[in-house]
Amino acid sequence: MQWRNSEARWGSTAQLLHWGIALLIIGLVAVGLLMQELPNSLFKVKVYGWHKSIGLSVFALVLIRLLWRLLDRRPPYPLGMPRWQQRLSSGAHGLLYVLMIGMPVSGWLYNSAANFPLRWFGLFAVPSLSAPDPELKQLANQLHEYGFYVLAALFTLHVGAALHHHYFKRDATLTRMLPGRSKP
Amino acid sequence: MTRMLVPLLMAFANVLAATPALASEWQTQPGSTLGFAAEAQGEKFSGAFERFEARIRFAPDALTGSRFEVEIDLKSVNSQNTERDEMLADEAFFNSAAEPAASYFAERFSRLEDGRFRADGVLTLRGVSAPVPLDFSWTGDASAATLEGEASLDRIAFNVGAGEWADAEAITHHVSVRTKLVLTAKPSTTP
Repeated sequence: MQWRNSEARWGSTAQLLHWGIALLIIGLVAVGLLMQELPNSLFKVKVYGWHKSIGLSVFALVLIRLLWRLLDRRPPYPLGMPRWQQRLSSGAHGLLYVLMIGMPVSGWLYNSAANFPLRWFGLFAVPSLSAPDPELKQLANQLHEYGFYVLAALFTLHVGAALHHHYFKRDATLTRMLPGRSKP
Repeated sequence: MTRMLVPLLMAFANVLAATPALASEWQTQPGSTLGFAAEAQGEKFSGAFERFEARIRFAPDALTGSRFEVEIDLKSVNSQNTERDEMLADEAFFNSAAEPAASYFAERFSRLEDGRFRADGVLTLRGVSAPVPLDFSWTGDASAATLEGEASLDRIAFNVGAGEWADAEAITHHVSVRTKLVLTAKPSTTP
């Protein structure tokens, strides 16, 4: 498998970024929903630290992914895909990127405005984006929460569309994002 | 006889003059602060008590009669972080629902080599009383003065953050305390 994208499929770089980020986001959502239910404990503090550290990692990976997207070609839409579906797909993917940036940034802002210091996996200090600010904290919290709902809806649409292409349209939309030999 | 009386009277006058000046009473003014700092998860954090009452009787030349009596409202803790402040109020930390106040009492003072003073006081927190010396500078005159002091304490000695929170990597055991008291002399009550 090539590390760059081709006309027919996504290369290993794009695939690694796609699936790696996908797994991390699923993990973040699971941890993010569960951690709020934990009673105050040292464990809770640590779990929040992990959520924040993983979230910032995703932020960095998404920036790399955007850069890669700019540099590398993208396989075209399947032949005969209606124009409205192309527009919807393009819009949904754009919005996914907005959220993949917006979620870590709003979380980071929330953490900063709430005046929590943060070390990335305990290794180095992450700069604060804001002075302690209760109003900004509330705003960032709401962005983070509503962002999650939008992300969940987009995720469902994304997975649903991939399965639709695979099982109903029987095109290569899903398989070209999977490792292994590409089918002609 | 008079030859004996005169030196005696003079000696008596000397004793009177040498009687230590009375330590005066002071009133805290806005701008007075009482704060603390420690490290949690490897990062510094600091907070302050927004309500505390300091009854200060002090004069640099009358250490013997000086006395500090401070009452700290633990519920007034503000570390600019709501979640942390709520946690500090918890039973594991200040337990401020059950013990809403801490106090500091000192009546033994000494002069340090650097010109500052030391109060060998006792801090009572969560029902534990233990010595916590406070080193402070005293500047000003007879009507207005500023006290700037620092102390250091071991939170474990006062059971602040017991159990799993006793982990020094989670929160350092050493907590530094800083205070600045802006003071004006109380009008003397004795005639």
